[in-house]
Amino acid sequence: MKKQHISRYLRQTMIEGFDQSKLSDARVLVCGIGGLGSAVTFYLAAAGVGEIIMVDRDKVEETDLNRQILHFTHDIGRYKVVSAYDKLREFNPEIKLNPIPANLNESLLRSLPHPDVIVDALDNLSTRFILNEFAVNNNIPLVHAAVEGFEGRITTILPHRTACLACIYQGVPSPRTFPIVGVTAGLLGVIEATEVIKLLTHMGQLLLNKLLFIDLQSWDFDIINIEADPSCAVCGANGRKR
Amino acid sequence: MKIFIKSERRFIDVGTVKNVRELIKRLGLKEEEVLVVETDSKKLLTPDEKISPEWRIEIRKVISGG
Repeated sequence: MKKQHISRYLRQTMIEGFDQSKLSDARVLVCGIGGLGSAVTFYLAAAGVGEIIMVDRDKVEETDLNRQILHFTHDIGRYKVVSAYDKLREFNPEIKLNPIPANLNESLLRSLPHPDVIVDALDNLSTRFILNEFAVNNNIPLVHAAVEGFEGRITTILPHRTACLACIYQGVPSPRTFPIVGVTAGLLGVIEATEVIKLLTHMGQLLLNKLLFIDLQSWDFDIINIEADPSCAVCGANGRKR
Repeated sequence: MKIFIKSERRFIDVGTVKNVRELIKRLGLKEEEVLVVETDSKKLLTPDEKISPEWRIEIRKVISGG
């Protein structure tokens, strides 16, 4: 590791057992560069994750600015991944950033370099299910979070070891514009980044088979136990394999 | 059987129900819109799961914003 790198990450490498090379050698795919994705990528860049692939087809709109903290007023109309790239490049020029302004689908996922971890920072369950199936079929850990209003949920999926999204959710609710306060997305995004850092550095305990519910209005933080469904269409014994 | 609707912070009496699927239907909800939790064990229940009359059950809404 170069001397300037040692200095940059000194305060985290002071943690006993923290191996910076596990982060600098890692490639993380972040799907969705909105409210969750802004916080996730910011902290992964800060931590020195070697390569961050960012996928989002959307452009910045004014209504995004209450929560999507990587995008500024002058970014309205620009692709979110390009806006994020500019900020993160300046923030940490030592890491590799790969912005992809495209629709997330199976063929795009297959075309990407193999990531060590995938972060689900999407805003709808139908695309989350596509990502979940790809992660399960390719045995890639998936960190999932969702937010609305003052509430959030988060879990970490290790394919064929834990419940997957199709074990948890029974289908896709009708699409709607969801209300959200920025701090909810920020907090859940930071927790997603925490899970990624712990996964890569093999430190601490992960939210495996645990769905953390957070209600910032009542300050309820509670963990619900989840189990893999043996009949799951994705990760079960007869799950879809491609 | 009383069910706690978490988002509304109120209880609803649904009478006797056999399983989670029937409970969701009795409440006029859709399976894809809610998560059903057994309160004491903090366990997420699947639609096929049978419900014991002594269980305490709560309903949490599915969210998917990002």
